[in-house]
Amino acid sequence: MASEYLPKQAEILSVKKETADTSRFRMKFVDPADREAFEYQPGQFVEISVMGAGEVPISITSSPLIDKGYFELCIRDTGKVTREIHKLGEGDIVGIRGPYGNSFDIKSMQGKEVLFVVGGLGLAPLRPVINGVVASRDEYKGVKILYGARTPGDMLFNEDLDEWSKIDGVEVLTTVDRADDSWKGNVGVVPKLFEKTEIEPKKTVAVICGPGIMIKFVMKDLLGMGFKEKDIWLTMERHMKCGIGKCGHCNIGTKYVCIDGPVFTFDQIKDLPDPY
Amino acid sequence: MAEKAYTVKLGDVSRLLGKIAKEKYDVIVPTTQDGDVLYLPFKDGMGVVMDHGNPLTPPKEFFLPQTDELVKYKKEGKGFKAEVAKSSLDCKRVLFGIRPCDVHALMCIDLPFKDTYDDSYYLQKRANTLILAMTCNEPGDNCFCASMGCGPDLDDNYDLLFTNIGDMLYVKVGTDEGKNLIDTAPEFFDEADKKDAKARSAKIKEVENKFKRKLDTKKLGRLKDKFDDPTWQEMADRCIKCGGCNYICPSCYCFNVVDRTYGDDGVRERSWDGCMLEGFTRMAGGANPRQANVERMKQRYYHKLQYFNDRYGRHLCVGCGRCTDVCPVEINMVDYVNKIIGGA
Repeated sequence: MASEYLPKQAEILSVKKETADTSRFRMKFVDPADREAFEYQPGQFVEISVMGAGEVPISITSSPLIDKGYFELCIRDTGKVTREIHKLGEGDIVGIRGPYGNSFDIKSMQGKEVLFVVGGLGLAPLRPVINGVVASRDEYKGVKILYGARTPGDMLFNEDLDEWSKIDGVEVLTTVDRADDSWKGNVGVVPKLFEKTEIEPKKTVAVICGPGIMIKFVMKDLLGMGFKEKDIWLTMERHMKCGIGKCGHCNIGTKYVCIDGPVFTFDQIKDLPDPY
Repeated sequence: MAEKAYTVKLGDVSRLLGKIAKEKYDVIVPTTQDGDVLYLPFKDGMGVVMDHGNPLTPPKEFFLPQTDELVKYKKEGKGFKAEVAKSSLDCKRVLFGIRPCDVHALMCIDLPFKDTYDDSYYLQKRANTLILAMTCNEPGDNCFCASMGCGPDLDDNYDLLFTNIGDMLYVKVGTDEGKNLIDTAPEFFDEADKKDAKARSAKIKEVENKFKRKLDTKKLGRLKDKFDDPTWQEMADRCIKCGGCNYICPSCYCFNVVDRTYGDDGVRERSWDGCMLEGFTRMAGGANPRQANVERMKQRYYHKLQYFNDRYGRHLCVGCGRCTDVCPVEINMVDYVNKIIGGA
């Protein structure tokens, strides 16, 4: 009997520490046929498992355009399964199912400015979206990346932020909730960054990911500026236990975040009860 | 299929099921145990109950067991070996005496379990089980299947359909596989005549008139404007968060997945979960989108009576009344929903 619940084996190639509690795991499938079959788009996720600990949904942070022959997951050590993953290193084998979920239709954003509003670990799923957009930079009117973390030490993908900021037409603004002596930049919550740049809502598409509380405030600001509901994209976080629309944990209203999302435009979720 | 109907004498049913069991089928029947009517595997000489109301627990467990093995694994060096667990039903099975409401509940679960991805564990059990349904004898105190269009009679989705018409069962044939079953034991079946058919219609009518509870389903559309109705909080305050309504429900299908390891060997299995339980939506890190009980109460009722219908075209409640039967604090689904939608 075929089973969508059977994980495939993937080998960890390297582990890069991003922050004190978050690392980027590069991996590839052990079976070349699995490697061949694994095609993903920015915004999709996988179910990763450590046998005996369990299985969790994690967004894919690598870019199908750039990262060939492997994929990467950026994982925070925060629960039973992720704690076990953080004990693993090069050569260890994990279980992978997927990719699951829908993705960001970045082609539909062409001709507009793309405004990324990101908090904390929210940069992990948006990284391949940003890479996809900047790879065809000329097709877009411009790119703005507003990124906030709790402290300077919690900033992810510092090298990427640096690289992106050097690209013509890409503006990167960062902020932290709490600064330390090394930090010379902005201090305050992410929505504060809206004051630091020019945004033309009619010519801009917003892409958001971060903690629920951040999304609430950002959404209020964006709608206040005059953004159209269908021009605001979000990727949602839920306890997606099975990843295939069966277990019911990620159900919100008529939607299952795992098979209908995790990527939605605001008009698709605004009527759902407490979406974030 | 041409309507050809049969009758079986009540006194012959046990022997008929015994013969079917001797063929290549597992047989599940309603029987009495410690004073409750339950679905259990048939054994020779077992008393098969045919004049009861609906059994205490639904036959959901035969398709979505309380725990069902998904994957077997073995830890090896730096990794593991894994294979699909062979827990699924790989022989043919007969489920005798399932009520129309519970058949409808299976039709509900079929929808998400075929949506986008097939759930092979459930679907294999469904495909390998013959549904020998029985129309309802007597509505229970909290039954409202008639309101939900799920009983007391059944239009389709059965292999054979029985109705207790006194000293015999009237038998309708729904599928070729059902007819084949009759052909394996023809000595127990007589062709039904017009008098038998009349007795069947009379029995169904009699039961239809006995329902004490009605959910005003025509007004369910009003729910969409009742999200802030104070009654939800009243229900949530009353609820003791036991999750009994989830587990007893024939159409609740949510599950959790856990790993159990014994030495180097282990099994990944799923077990029933419930949206009324606080941990249901909690994520690693602690964020919980439905932290308050009132949010979970609304989720259960809206999923049953609005969301599922909006997505799949039918309600996720079949009116069996079991959630009300088992609720230790008497949260009566029909009364509360009627109150919220201003129904009868």
